[in-house]
Amino acid sequence: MAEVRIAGVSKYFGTAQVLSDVTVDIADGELMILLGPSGCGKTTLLRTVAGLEDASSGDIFIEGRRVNDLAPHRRNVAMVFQSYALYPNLSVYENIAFPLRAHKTPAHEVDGRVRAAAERVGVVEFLRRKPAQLSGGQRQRIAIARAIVREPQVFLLDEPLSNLDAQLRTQMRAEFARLQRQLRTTTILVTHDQVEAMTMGDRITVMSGGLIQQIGTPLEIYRRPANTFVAGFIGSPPMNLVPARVMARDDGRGLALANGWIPLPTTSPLETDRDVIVGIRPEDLRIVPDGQGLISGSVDLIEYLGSETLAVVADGGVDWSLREGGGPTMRLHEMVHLSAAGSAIYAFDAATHELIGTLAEASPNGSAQNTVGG
Amino acid sequence: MSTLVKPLTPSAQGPAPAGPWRAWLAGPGVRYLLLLLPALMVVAFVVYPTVATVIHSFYRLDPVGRVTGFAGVANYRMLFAEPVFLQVLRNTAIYAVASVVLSIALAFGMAMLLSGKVFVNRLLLLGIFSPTVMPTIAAANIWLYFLAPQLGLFTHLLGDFGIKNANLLGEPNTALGALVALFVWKYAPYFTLFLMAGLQAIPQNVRDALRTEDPHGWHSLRKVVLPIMAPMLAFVITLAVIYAMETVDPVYVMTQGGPANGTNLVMFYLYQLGFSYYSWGPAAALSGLLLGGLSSLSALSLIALERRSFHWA
Repeated sequence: MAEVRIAGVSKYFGTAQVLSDVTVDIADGELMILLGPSGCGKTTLLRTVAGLEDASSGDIFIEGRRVNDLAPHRRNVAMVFQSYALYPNLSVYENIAFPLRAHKTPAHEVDGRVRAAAERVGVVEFLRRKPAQLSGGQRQRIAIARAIVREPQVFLLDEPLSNLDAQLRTQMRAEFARLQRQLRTTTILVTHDQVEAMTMGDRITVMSGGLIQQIGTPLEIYRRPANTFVAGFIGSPPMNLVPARVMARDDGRGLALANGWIPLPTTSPLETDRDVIVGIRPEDLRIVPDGQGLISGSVDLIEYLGSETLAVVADGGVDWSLREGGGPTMRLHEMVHLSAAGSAIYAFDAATHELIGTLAEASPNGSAQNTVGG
Repeated sequence: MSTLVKPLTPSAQGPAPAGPWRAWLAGPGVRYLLLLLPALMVVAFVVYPTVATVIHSFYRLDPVGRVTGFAGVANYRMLFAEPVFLQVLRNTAIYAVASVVLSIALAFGMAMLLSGKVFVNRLLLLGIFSPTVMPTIAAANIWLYFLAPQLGLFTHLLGDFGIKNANLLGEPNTALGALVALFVWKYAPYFTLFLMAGLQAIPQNVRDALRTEDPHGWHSLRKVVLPIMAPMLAFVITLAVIYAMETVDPVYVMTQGGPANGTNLVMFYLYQLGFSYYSWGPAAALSGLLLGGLSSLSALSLIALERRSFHWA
């Protein structure tokens, strides 16, 4: 049990900077997700915490102790790899026992702990087999057993579920989240899968280009994206992001879109002539009768998925993704009018891509929930 | 003739070659003809001499090599009755064990140091591997200069450490040591290449896992790295033993088996039996023994290679 503090860590590979001034605090017992597209530096950050990579600058603390100069095995962390990294010549039992034996744990203690770990992840019946005789899901359980048998202070998991098929991934996701809640061991899990991040994480660190974009709970990340990157990365389909400009008309001020007009409340602090990016999530858009819509366009694509329907509405060169529950209520090429609540319409600065706020808010800087600064 | 599945022969893919010459060239006959010449070479220079040698080892032969009568196992008895042969066996055993153990231990160490490095200095590699590509005769002559009394480089270096006028090739023990050193110098880099390839087969994440789990590295080496490397090690050890057993050129160049037969190795003794003493019968017997010994070693190592391969999970 330990809190992990990553303080201003930067990392260069040659001249390429893969981490720039990353600072994250992970609380004791927390499951922190590092989420981002491939190449964003999340795996490098995890490997730096493990000690498999050296930080070019910055510090890493585990339970208040600076571990930069400690070898990986002295950091008391256990790592689980995407491709399991089991030892092919050893039985499942010896794989799980390996870290204990390497640390010269007394033999009678080894057996009890190996069996307890195997039981926790449900691989007791495979203890005598070799890894090559097992399925991907079973191998991943063994890799997890090998991590928990050490009773480490921190679990580090690098895309642990990516090599599993979709059904097994869903099952293992739930199992691992339950296991982590029982053990209450501080965990850092790297993934590029937003569903994994949203469902498993206590908090999520969204990364891109070696920079932290936002740190927050799944709800905060979803409801309060700090910038257009986070808004566009989370959600499926992602948030509609469309350039607009604040304009004044006879009937008041509003956001001018290519083929629409979103009126602004009179209290809105947005300056006239300011360029912004408008963001609306597909599920927040709804079809309204003519005359009440903010946006008009023709239905370009309908995808019926059973419990919901996805559609694309084309509006003067801009595609709006739309999601509604149940079956389709529109026809292809039909002209429709879309609207959304002011609290669901986000405005981002066109230059910095930072969140300004929703249209329902009076304050331009958003609420205190928004954890990321410039 | 219309068929959907075309047989993969040249005639099915285009018009048949015109003329009897071309038809014959495309036929199967030419393949066997092309095979004939190399096959004849193998029979003439490998199969026939091997079989003839084994047969001759059971016959009495005159100094010219003509069969004069059946000998039974007399040639083998004669071989072992000679005290020099027993000394040769002892020399060869010491030389082979020392050469194999030292060269492979050094090669394993170098492989561990060099593998996993993304960038290994090309010049360093060239330097390390240059002895391997040098012909043994040339290498032995260079070493002869290194070790020459009074003017050799190595002799001078020893002088700086207080060992004056060393004549390493003049003492039986140090002369054998010099031959071992030459073997290690020449072959350790070569074995390093094989062992590096073997280590490369261990995936990066397995090495990473070992680094996070093993405080000393010793447990990793013994329980994971060595077992995974076992087939490659078996192969390299076999290779090393064969190379050590067939060592003859440095003996010829540097010591001629001396002093006092102290560096007389089995292959040099075999050469002497035949071409110095014209004892063709015992020479054939010794050849037969070497053939049997080295073939069984190779067979054993092949079996080891087959049985100890892993499937990466």
